[in-house]
Amino acid sequence: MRHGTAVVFSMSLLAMLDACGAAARGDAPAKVKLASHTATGAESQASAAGSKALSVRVVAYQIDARLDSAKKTIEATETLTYHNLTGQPLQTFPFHLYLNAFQPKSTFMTEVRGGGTRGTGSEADWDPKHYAAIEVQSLAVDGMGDLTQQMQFIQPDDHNPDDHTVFQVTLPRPVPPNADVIFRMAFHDQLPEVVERTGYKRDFFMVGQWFPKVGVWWHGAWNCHQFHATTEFFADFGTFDVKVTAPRSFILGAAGDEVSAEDNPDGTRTVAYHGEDTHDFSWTASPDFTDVEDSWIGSAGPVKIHLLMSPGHLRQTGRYLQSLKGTLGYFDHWYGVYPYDRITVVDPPEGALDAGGMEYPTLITGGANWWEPRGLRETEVVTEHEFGHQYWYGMVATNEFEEAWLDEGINSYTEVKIMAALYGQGRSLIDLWGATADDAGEQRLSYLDTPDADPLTRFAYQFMGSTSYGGTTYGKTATVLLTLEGIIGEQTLRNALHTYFERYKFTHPTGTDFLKTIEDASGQDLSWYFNQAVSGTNVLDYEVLGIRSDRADWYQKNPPPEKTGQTLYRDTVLIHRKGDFIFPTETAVRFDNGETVRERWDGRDRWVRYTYLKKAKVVSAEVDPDHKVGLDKDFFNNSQTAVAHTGATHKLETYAFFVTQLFFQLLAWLV
Amino acid sequence: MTRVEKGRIVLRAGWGLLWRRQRVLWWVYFISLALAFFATQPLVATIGPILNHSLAADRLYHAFDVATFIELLSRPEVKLQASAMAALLSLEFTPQTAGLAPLLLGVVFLVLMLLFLGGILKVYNEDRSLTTGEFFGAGGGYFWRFFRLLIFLLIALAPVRLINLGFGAWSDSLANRLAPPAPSVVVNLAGKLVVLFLLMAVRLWFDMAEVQTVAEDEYAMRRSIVGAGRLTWRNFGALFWIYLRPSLLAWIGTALAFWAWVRLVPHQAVVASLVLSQAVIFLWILTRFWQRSAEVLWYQQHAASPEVFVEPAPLPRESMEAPPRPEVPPAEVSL
Repeated sequence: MRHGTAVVFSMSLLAMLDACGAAARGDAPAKVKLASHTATGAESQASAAGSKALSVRVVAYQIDARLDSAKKTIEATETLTYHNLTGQPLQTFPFHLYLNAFQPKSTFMTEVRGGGTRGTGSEADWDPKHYAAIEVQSLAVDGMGDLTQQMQFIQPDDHNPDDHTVFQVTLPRPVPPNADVIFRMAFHDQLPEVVERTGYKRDFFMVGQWFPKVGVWWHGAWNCHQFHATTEFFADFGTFDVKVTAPRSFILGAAGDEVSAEDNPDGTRTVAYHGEDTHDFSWTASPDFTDVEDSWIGSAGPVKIHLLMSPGHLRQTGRYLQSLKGTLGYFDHWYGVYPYDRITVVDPPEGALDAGGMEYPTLITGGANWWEPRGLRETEVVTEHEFGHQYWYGMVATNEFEEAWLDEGINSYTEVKIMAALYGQGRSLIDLWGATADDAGEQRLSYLDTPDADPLTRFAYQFMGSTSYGGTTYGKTATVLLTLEGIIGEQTLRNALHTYFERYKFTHPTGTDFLKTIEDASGQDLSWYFNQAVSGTNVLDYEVLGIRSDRADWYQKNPPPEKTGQTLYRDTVLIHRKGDFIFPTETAVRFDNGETVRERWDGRDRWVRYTYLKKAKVVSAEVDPDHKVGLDKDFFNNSQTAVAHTGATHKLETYAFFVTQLFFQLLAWLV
Repeated sequence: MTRVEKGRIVLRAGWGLLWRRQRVLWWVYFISLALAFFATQPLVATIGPILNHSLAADRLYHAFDVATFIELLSRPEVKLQASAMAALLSLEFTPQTAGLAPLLLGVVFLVLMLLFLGGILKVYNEDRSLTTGEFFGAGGGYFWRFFRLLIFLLIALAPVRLINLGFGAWSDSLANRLAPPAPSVVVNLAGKLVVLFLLMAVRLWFDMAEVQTVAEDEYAMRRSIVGAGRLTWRNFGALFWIYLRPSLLAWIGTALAFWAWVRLVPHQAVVASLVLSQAVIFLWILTRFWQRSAEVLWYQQHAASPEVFVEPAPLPRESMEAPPRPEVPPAEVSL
């Protein structure tokens, strides 16, 4: 709980090396402190009892969990105090049991088999090591007695009787408005080998979505979807007081402030955490972590950084921290204040990357490899992305089941902006051996996978497939917003996101709220754009269909020889709208006298022809010359030059030529 | 004289032989060049119309934007070619890619190398220029024998593949049991080195079998393999040294060329890229032929059958009058 000592970098490095060695030797938990920035030493105590609530706290969870690291199980008790703020009596309560998704007949696994999901392709075989389960052994409600027998599994989305990811309990009598109801449960978790964000690998545990979590009363009804292959989560804000008991040699990290730690006679240690104004609680444990502590000063004060590094990855520590602090800085500056006093980053070990790249309130998981060269910024972009979710999901807590584009999509857009700010435009993702790639291009590629399959607004589990879900939710949303920059301006969109965050933090806004905020900030009616790009599946594709320069005196039998600057030409440029997305475009027409003419077209008709009578020939014509319209499906047909430039073709030919000859040599090795 | 010194002398002599008989080297290089040219023309014909009149091509010419490159490869008209290239790189051939130009011409190159090898080794073995007829006569004469050797080589490589899989499984097992990645990585890398060593050893063994086949005009390939195996086993140090040094030169040269390409060659310098890449290909062919010439010389110095002079016995009178006996064809050799 301390973060005040300033340590010079070299000391940090030595400490890291020492810690690395200690970890390698299997010594006691390693802890490394990096240079910190705070001078006051004012430690922000975890417990914020009495501090002003940032959210409307609907739930208060108290969980006491014991990890059996050998059996990979958790025995726990949970007390949930639910504050009925719905304005009406509630008698039936649904709960998520996410871990039951990892069973062969579940809806989740059926969908994975059919269409794949993150890290798993379709047609994947069932692997028993990925089996998981959560069993509620008892359920009682204060004042109403034991209701264990009243629990029943429900399948609100697909009526699959074998799906046990949601259960509901009906109380003997309703809970009146503004009253509290207290549920007391005992439950048992069987963890899977790491799959879909959660589970174990050797002695590493990433424990997410592990406890019975009540649904959200939203828009006049319970919102408690089954766990699907492409869905994430949705929950109410509240407080979490969680005690985790694990072997003493384990280093723990959790989505809350550590309030106490106590060694038990049986060789275990119980660590108590408190989190508030969050809507989920996850934790991690491993004897092999090196706990790198650092801090960052934001608008709301110091933020403690806990970086739990896995063996072999310590050399990537600086990359995590650079990305995390840079991201914290840009979010704080551009979109809103980071109000929490901590952030924990878990670096999954080798073989457990499926636990990586995931967000929980105040705890994120990264993804580094020991071999990753500096020019590949995978560690950085994952860290940036997952931290971004502290805003778009963590605080602006949209419904990830129904409107995934609001968290993943907006977050992918802010990822593009921050990665470019941190690592340079055009090279924010790859800058290696002369090859470059930026995040905007990567998002666009993802969108191009299925540009016309699904609208952004579709429920996450109703997409055509996981490719369409990913391409639309992440890539298309980011590209839609990048294209929107070209309409309302980059700064206006940034202001809109800032306003959106301030308006809706610690609430559950919808897509309509988001789009309305953008219209408010820009002062424009953007429905023409949103109808096509957000709720439609229109495809945007403009092309330069032809350019032509004809001598004006073409009809003469013996015209005078052509002279630059003197011969009169009739120049024509033909632009064609190939797609069904109507979008105002700009075209730059360049002439051989150095002149450039910019033309604007509303794009409503299918084509437009520009004609000029000039003493110059057309050199080239280009739609979207400032490259603002990322949604355009085909960049190659956006321009046409009068003269062929074969440089790129010959360059790629050279590469192909070399690879082919290399292949020949490998074959010849057999002889 | 130590073995290393002997090996050095053989390599030097092999280089001299390579230099004197460099015509075969150039021929093979130009055939590779020509076939690769034809193999890449479908790709050029496909991407040319997309890139040549598009300003977007600039992102590939004055830079190498990975997203633009992938976007190009993702286009339906290019996808087929791209998958062919991916198939070439991953050696995963499907019916859809099997008929494509690079793959087909690769097979043609392999067959041509099988056809030329007899002539090439004969050139080195006799250290003289062969007429076209002699060269192709030798190539044709040894073609099926070398084809049988190729089959045996593929059989001999099967255990190497199993060893490779074994190291992979061991590495995975360590990765599943141990948190620090180092042991798994070390096993993985060590496995790769062992497999590389085994591949080189097997290749050396079959090189010697080919050399022996030509030197002894051997028809029985199993005998060649066994004989060459015994020979290689007994002289492994010296022979492997002869094989390794040109290989090292090729690897170092490739690494240096890659470094120079990344650091010194501007994106738009297509000709410089072409020259550098061709230098690498030529270096690979050159070092391979150097290995061949040195192996031939080593065999002549250490293992060739001595030409025993046997004084002819006086012929009996009646035999001098008898008509000459027909030449007995060599016994048919079965695999």
